[in-house]
Amino acid sequence: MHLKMKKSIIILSTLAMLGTTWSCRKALNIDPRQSIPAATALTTRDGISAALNSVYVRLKNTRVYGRDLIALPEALSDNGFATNKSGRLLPEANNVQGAHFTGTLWQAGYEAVNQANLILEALPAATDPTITAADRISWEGQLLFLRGLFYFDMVKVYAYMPGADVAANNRGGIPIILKGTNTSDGALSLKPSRAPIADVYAQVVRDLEAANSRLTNSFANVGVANKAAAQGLLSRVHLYAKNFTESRRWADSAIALAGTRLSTSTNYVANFRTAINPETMFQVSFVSNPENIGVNESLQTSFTTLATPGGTVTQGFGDLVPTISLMNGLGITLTGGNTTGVFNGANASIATRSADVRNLLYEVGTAGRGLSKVECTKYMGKNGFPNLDHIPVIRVAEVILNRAEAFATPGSPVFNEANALADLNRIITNRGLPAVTLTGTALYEEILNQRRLELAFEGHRFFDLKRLGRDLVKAPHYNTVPFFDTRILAPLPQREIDGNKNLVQNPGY
Amino acid sequence: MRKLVLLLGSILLLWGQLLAQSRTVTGRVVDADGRPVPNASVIVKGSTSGTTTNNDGVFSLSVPTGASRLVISAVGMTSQEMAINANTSRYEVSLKGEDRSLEAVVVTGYTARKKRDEAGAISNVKGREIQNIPNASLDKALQGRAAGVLVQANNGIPGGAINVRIRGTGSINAGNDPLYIVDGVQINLRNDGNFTQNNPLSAINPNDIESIDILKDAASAAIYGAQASNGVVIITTKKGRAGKTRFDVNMYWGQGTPLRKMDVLNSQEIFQMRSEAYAWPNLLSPGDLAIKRTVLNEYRVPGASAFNDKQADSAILALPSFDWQDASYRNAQIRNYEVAASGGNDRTTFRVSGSYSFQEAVITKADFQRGAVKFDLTNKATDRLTIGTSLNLSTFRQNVPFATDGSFLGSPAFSSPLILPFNPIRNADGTYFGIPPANLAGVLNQNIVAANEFNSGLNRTNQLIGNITLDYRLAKWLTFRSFYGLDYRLVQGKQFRDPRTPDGFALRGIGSVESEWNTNFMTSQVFNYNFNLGTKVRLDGLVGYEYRVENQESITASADNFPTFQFRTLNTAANPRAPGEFFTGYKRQSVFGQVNWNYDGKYILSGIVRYDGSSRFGLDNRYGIFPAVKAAWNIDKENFLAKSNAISSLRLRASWGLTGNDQIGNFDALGLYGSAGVYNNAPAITFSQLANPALQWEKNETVNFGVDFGLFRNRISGSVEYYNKLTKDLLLSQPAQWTSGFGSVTRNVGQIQNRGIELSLNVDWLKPRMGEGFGWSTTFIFTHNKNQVKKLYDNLPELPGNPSIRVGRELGSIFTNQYAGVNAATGRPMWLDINGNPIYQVLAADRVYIGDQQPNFFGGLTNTFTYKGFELMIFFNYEYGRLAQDGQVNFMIENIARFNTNRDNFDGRWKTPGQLTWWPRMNVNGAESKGSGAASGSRTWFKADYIRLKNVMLSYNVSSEVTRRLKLNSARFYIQGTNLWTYSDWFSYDIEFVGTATGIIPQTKNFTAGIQLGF
Repeated sequence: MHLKMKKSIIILSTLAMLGTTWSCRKALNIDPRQSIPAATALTTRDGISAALNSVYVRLKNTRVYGRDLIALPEALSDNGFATNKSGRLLPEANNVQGAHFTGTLWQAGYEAVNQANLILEALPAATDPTITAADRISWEGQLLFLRGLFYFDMVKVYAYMPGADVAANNRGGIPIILKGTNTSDGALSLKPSRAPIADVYAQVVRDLEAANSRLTNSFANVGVANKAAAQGLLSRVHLYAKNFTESRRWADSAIALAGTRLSTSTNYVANFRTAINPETMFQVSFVSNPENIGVNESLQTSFTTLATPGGTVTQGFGDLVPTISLMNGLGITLTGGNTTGVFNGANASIATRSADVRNLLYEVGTAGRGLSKVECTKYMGKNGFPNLDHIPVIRVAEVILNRAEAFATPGSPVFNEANALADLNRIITNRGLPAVTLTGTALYEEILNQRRLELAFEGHRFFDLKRLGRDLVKAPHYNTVPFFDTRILAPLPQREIDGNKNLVQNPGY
Repeated sequence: MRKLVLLLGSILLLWGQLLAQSRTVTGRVVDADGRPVPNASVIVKGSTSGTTTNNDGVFSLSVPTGASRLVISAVGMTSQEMAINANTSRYEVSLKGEDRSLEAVVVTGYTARKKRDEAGAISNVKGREIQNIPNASLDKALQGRAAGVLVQANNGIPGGAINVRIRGTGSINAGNDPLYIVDGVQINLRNDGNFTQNNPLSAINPNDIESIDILKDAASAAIYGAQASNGVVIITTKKGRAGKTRFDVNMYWGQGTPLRKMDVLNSQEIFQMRSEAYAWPNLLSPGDLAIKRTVLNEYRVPGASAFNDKQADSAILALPSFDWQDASYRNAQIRNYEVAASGGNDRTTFRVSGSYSFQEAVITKADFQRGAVKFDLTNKATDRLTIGTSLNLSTFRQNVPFATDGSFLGSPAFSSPLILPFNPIRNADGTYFGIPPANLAGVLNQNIVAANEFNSGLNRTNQLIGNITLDYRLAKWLTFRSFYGLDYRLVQGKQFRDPRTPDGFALRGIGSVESEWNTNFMTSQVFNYNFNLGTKVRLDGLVGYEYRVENQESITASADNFPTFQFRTLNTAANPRAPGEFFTGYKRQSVFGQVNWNYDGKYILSGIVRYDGSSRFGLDNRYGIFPAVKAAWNIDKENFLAKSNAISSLRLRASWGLTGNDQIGNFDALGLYGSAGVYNNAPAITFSQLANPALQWEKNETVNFGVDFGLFRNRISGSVEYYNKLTKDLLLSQPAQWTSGFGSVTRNVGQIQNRGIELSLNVDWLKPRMGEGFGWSTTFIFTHNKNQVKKLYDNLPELPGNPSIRVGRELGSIFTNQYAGVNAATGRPMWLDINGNPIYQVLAADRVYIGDQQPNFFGGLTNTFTYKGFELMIFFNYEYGRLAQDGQVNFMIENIARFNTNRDNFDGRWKTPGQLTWWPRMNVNGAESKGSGAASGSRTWFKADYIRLKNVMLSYNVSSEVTRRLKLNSARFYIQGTNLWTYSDWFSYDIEFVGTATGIIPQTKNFTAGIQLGF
């Protein structure tokens, strides 16, 4: 090749290459493969359906129903005693300042709320012809149910409940956001303040009622929002808000939908050992093993060392076990283990059990992680893998107890002791105990006591004491936390306070 | 094909010519001080025959009868020609090397220039300085050897990640790693493996490196535009030199031992602490029988519940103590073998090297094994066209540790000092104690020695770094370079949790595999020009275009339920799970130019500009301009200094430049819906990221002033630099209120300043005369850097939720509660509230600034002593002014006694009312009731100042008389030690670490011995 020619070929080809790549606007184009553009995500049936699933997914977070909303109400209150086997839940059980629900509940909650808002706003514009009218109603119903549930779970954690507050410590409810954020500027300019507590409860009720009118009754898949779940939850929300008439009304309706799903003393234990307890009206589903929260923080590992009920193999940590007072209530007497408060000398052994079938869900764990204790076995990896359980959010027995309390609370507009006693005895007799005849305070207190025993280790106790304005009496394990103490309220995430002058922190943090 | 034939032909030709020799000339090459110059090239002018000098500077060369001149050259010295005649056969040549530092060539990006002609702040580290130090990667070797370059690590895994920070940390959320360029190929630095750390720079054998140039100021780095704001590290590997083919063999062997064993307690001592932990909160005496029974029960002493006091006491005394650290540690083996051949003629030069390197960690199975082949070839195809290629093919294999870090129960690095010491390691019959379904007593209930033996994992990295270069001389003043580079990496990993270990027991074994590949291609087309305007003015520079595309893909899979522990491949498992796939990538294109104006060697002025585009940024801001200017005044060339005896060289430099930082996620500017997991067996997607079409580069503006000086015939020489680097439009994950549904939005807000002084000083105290006598030289490297956050957004004093980022303070400032010691009456820990009063329970509002995590100054000190063939090199490095937290220590200083603990805790703990101490009383609950956590606040921050004897090497160069008799060119023996001694208050594994340091694989103290032969 001639030298000059070679030279000009090099120059020309270089210039040509320069020219083509530079001029072409596509030179820098490259698209992600694990994500799709936000602008088109909510235009298809599958896209909306998958986005709706993400709202459910937030319920599974370890700081939401994955663990905290179930385990912390037990640890913070008088139900749970921390064994210090992994060190987890010990500060919460000891009510150390700041050991409480974390900011992740707030974060996941508002992410879910925003995603729900965005889908609700996108639905009218979604013109995909495969979307049916029934789809739209079902989606709306589920989204409103979930938004109501998240607001309720957040407001009960971060704020006082209506009618039970310490005025000096009351900083209001939580921000109510009903419009979706989908731009950077929108996200950065949002600086909401805390709405009044009553407004938040009103919003929860609005959402759940709207959900109720859209959802259909089905117990086929209780992992998905349904009519009975919305009604059952409404009865609880109204009970918390001391609207006893409404609580009773929604309980009536939910109990009717549930029919005969309340377990009896004969099938109570078996029902608890099946993957989905027939009593469940709504649960957070954990179906496949990749969803497993694992050996550190799942409910199974939090509550028991046992791999299987009645087994001897050590699986979990068994970090939080029932207190003496809870075990007394359940009719268990024991030696060693949980008996002598925070400090004890021997492995646990159960001396006697009453006829209450509920105490069969409590047994002596292994000594594989330190001295054995009596442990709760409500979560036992029932989906085929250790630490993989569905997590019930609401079940029939609770709704019955909601109604009993609405009937029995002094001053209730629907005060009716006979009805209250009937509901109470329906629970008691189905748990292997003889019916009782009580009136007045004794009746009311027994309803609260049965609520504690029935719903122990299901995430109720702390909120029940809090809504009643009662102290957390933790003897002999820990010191009492009076209701006026700032530790009753969880801290708002510090980063939210740092970045938003409109938001007021709870006292003591 | 034609070129290949040509190439092979020229190699054959070379061999042929080497055989046609006739007369032997010998001689010695020395520098101006009479010191021998090894490795100098000696070539017969006009021919292809030549040789290189040995370590004594001696050469012996057969020259054709008609030859009349020799050309002698050496790196960093001026080439010289010398006449030879038939009557003399022995010559002495003195190469000009008096101005070594300034005559040396520095690589400045797309070109190389003499340091004297360069006005930027560029540090140079010679390959010689770091060779044979047993580091897997070259970045670690830079520690303390270049001013302004802070080298730290968050782990000691051989082949693991190294943090290199040039002139401080300038970015909060974008990356702070410099750009690494190996022979023109821009390297992707990401650690890709999931199972261990694999530093891509480990693919390069440090002994293949000729020199490392570090572009520190923005003006020097600006030619790399938007990638350059963290500085640029340019690595030039060894190339062949014309001359007789030279073979070099290099081998070393050695052993690494732990830097430190934690001083932990025996069983009786930890029993005592645990008893107190039960006693104090329950208002009991630690000697209470119930407590003894409880703890004995915890320690699984049979029948303890029924013991009386006497039985309990003798049971306590009978508790054995086992040393889990001894059982977990080993002496680490180090081996390295290399062979290289290089040579060529005036048209073709080559170098081929092969190396094998093996290095173990002292704990766990972690190790590093590298085989590398390097091939370099340059051929002058015609007078105008030169083609070259450089290929580094390397594979490194790492046995993976249980975990690279973290508080994993099965991780020996974490658990070995903490396991309760009465747990035996083995049963009487030699089998492991406490393996599933049994376990150890205590929270740390895994037999880590067994787990370490049973588990397995392997990580293999195959890497190709290669380039092809075509240089074409278009005119005397203009050359064109077409460059194609590829950095291809395949990382394959495999990990198996054995069913005989607690993690694999329940699922009957868990196997995981991954495969990640990374393709990083770039090309540049550059015109270089260089011409004189009249006799005094020279203009040179370049104009070029560059395109780079990088794709990363990976697949992962795992499975559980294996038939037996011998089966470890996924296809034998019953239960497949969690397959994964991942893709990401970006593209970049740029044009750039540089012009250098040089007046008579006295005044130098350079202008640089780069126009850069990257796919990572918003559609509105994809392209940016990065300009820079720099100037230098070589005062020593002025008449008034030319005759000065005191001042042998002196130059002043100044520069200003703008660079960018684009080290953010590849798709951060886009509004995206991404996967959000699964619910009820159905997939979920969520709004994962908000769009920011205005997103653009982080900008880095640096002003630099420098002085290079040489005094007393350069007996004292060095450089001083001052810089002021302002990073603007930070790529910040600006926190949004979570109530918006988003945690943050990546935006360009905020400013950070790094200001500093750098000093490099070299003193030749004693110079050997003509290679005889005693020599002593000292190199001192000092860096002071002051980092400050200048501005955030919305006039916020601190980043919401992150008090370590505060306006007016350093990045990583520590804002926490001030620990106030123990209340002597109760033994409870106290902290100061905002008014300075000691209280038990502090709030967020009580936090104060107590220091920061960046060193105020750091550097190194090298002393080199020579006597005849002996050389003793002693190298220290140091850091001062950093506070650090150590996760491992945080576990050890707990007041619960659920783990074994350190002796300071045992000796110092509060035991009795009235006792003044820093260490709180034991409490089984950890935090006291209505008290803050015992191990919190300033109590967990420690001074991390240190001076470390990093490296000592004693070597002996065998004299040329002996080597000649042995028919060798050179021979050198050495012994070496690294990390030999440390001066600091630190009481955890290793002070050098940054990060949480929980369960990390520690560095080692190494002793190696080696031999280098040339023939």
